[in-house]
Amino acid sequence: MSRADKKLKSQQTVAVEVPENSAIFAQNLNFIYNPKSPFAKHALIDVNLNINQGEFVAIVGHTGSGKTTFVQHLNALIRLQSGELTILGKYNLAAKKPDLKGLRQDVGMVFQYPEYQLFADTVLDDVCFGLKNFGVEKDKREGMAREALELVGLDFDKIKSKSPFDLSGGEKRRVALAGVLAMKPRILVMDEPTAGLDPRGKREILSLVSELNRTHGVTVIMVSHDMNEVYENARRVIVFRDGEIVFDTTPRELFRLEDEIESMNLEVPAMAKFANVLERQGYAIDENCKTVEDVYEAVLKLKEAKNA
Amino acid sequence: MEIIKLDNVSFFYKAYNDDGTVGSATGVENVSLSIEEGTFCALVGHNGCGKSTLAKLLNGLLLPTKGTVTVNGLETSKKENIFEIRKNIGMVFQNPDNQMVASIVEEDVAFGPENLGVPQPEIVERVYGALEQVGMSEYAKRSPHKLSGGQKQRIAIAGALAIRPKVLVLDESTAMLDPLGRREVLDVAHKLNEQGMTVILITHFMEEVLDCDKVVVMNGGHVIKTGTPNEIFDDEQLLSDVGLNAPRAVQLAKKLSNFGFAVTENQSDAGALGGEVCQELTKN
Repeated sequence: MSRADKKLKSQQTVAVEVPENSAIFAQNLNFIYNPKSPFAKHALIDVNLNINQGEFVAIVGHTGSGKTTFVQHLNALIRLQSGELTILGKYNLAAKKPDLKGLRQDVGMVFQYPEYQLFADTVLDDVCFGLKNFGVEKDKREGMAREALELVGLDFDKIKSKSPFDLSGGEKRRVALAGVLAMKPRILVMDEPTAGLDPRGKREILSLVSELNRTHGVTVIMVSHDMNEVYENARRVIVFRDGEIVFDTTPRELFRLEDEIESMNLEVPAMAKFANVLERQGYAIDENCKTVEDVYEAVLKLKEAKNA
Repeated sequence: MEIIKLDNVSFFYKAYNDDGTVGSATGVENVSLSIEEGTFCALVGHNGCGKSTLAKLLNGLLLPTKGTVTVNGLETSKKENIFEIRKNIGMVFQNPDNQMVASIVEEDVAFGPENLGVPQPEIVERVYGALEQVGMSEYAKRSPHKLSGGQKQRIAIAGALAIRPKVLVLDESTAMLDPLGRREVLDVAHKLNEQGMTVILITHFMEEVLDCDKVVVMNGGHVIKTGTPNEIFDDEQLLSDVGLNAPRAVQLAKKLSNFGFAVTENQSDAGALGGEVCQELTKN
């Protein structure tokens, strides 16, 4: 720990109280790769945020902005260097020995291209691997695997003895997701869950994630490069740039700032761009209209109002 | 002149059934297609529709079970033609990390011409020429592993260009890249096309299809439609059958136009579409 970090830590004599119903609570989170070396890189700078349980949050930013470093903190793949991080109000990662096993059951992490991590002979074995490692008894595992595979929309009896390598790209990804969901995590962290999938595969994964969020109350943290996807699915967007949070707002608010978005090499979603032009001309489109279908309906309403 | 011609081509993969018997799975079936020299052609369809099989048939990585594939007048099924055909077709695949063979960028790009037995002074000329074409000259002495995804794919394209092909096949080469990387690769592809290169772009990003001359839609191993991007986007039934979508702005423009709004029917720029809609709203 550098001197500056020590100083920072000593200043926090009064621990800030974790808000009720908090899923992720970070205070002055800092992280430096290769500290005290010429290669030191300050990857996270004073990150403060609170995400409540049940939120659907997108994390965006250009490659190297710190978003992956941040999400890797959430299930302690990266150990806290300085600051405070409390998950679900009960896992204090600044503590000397946090309960990592419990944490990793509650925070499910889906990496980029998770299908590359499939390895077992059968789909069932693959989904059960995590359960086994978390000490679930043998006779309970199959039932939990069944539940998870059915949740991701796969036919358990048909697929359980297949080799994961014989499946299509979209199916593989759902099997990998089932492996994480089998543990019934309360927070699901996903790093680009739809990258590399065809449009149908993308839609399937996104509707599954929305479903988990809406009906099962799972808190979803989704890292994404696809701004159309972010716009249509997330209810809150956090933008990282050079290790700092530069925006933390609703998708509609964020994508009104076209110049700032483009200066960060991000894209403005098509439907946001459209709505922005109309707004500037004095035609407001309902904040919640984000899909092509909804925006179309909103335009028709504007026309009706005009004619009336 | 047509540079690529597929005449009633079928290809079947071997499939191993659960009971141990060997069957066959369709890669592509009864595909006839011709591509003129200098065309920018997109090949679209969802995963498993036969796009990549088709790409591999083009340079003889796979040989047709039935029918003939002809590249620049040479049939791929004749063994003596393969070497010449592969000189004519440069291929770039999906994963940038799987295509790097050397630890220095210039050596990686030189791999192709070295294998063709090109004399050393010419290799140097080709490598630097290719790196310049993709805008990566300043990275010649760097390690490819430290580059971004888009930069790696441009190196892979340079590697293909160094064999001086007539056709460049990009097999989902943008699928794993971030938006910036994707734009870099597409810009390079379009620039090469302007200089006369035939480009075949395999993709499922419909935004990338907008600027192509010709779009080939595949489903279940069959070519189900070829046409200009507008002709393809007009066929909503076809798109929904194969699980693809027109770009969002085009979808909205079509809906509004169908309703009777005076907007450009295939407007792909959402901002411009917004302007047109405002005019329409103000007019009445």
